[in-house]
Amino acid sequence: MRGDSAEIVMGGIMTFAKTRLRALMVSLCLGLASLVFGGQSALAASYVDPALKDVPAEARVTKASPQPVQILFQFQTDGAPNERATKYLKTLVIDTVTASGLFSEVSETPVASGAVISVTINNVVKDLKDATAQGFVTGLTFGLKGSLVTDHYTCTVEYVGGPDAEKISRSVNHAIHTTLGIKTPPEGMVKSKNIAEAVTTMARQAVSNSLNQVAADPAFGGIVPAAPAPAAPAEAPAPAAPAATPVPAELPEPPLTPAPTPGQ
Amino acid sequence: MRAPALLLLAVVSLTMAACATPMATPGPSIGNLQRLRKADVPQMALGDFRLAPGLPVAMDRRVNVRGSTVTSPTGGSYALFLKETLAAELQAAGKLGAASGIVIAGELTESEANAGIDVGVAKLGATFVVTRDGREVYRKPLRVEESWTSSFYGAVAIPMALNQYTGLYSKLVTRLLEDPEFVAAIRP
Repeated sequence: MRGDSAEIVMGGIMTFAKTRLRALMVSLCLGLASLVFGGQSALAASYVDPALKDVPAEARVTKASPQPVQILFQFQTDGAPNERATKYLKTLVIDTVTASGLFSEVSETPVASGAVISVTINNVVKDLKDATAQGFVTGLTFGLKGSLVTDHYTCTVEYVGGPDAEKISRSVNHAIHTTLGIKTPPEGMVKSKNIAEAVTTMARQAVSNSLNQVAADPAFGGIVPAAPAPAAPAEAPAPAAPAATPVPAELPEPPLTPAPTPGQ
Repeated sequence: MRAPALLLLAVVSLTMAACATPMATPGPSIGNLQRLRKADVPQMALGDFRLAPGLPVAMDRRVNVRGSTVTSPTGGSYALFLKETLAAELQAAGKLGAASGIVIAGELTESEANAGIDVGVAKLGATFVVTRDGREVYRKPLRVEESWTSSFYGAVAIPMALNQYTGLYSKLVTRLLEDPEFVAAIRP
């Protein structure tokens, strides 16, 4: 990722509706001091949900003869395009797809074979009223009564090998938890350095996991490791765990107390 | 006395954050890309896109959501933004060709976004016209509409409404590209 802190603030936390609203409500009550910090509040801490991790090397699908692919990427907020976040994460997403080694070239323009990969990350907004109320109380008590807000993300990777090829599609769910004020973080969480790091980690993990699942489809023609290690705890009952099948429209709450071993 | 006034000011700023935001650059979708390639259609050129005759100029320039709006990055015209959205889809599929005898034109007929306290609604409509070597082979009005759960807070409701409105352009283009009559009109 590139960009100074101002860009990170504008491109990062301010694009994610629920966290933004909560931060805004806190700022409203904390007044000028937190406004100086751009509404982010120095009291905010972000945690990437540990249920979904980076794809371990031994579980990565490979391709014998990688071919070029055209990439499409869009970040959405509740299904609507979010250009600011799209711009912010585009390079990271392209780099993640390139680093998978599944393609010889990742291009934004059409390629000869007609192969296309589409990556969509959708920030699902819910419980805005609750977020508003909790954020207001946090601000009103000057952070003494902290609150926890969760931003949910669904990453969908779709791939077609050519004009007549069938589409392969996989989705995974992920989440970022943000505490505002004095609030004990959920158990098993590893604190991100800042919201920008949390967002980039979330995006990298979500894209690499869904892409690896696409590559594991027999129609993709990849080489699947004999005994792939699971990318997430098998018994994670939750939306934040990778979902090999299409995810439901209404997401259940992600687990806040899962992994005994934190983090990345 | 000062504290309530500051609080009121803050609340007002939350609910009435008037500003103009540039629209998101149109991005192609894999669905439309495959649709165009599977249909095996030739390259197409884009003609004039403008506001339909008799409609107020403001319809092509501004949607008003609690005093805020989005501005088209293409000459400030929503009709031209529709053209750019279609161009992005055709370009990504390798189907855009300025020299083609098949020309698609459009007239904006509807453009609206509202962010109510509970529900938001956005609407977009256009009449598309296709000519082959100067002869009209397709003319059809198409429209799309979206509704969503809105919010009392302008800081949430306004960007949500403007994002939803912007998203309608891709949906309207999809409506065109999946219209069997349109596909039949542009096939060789």
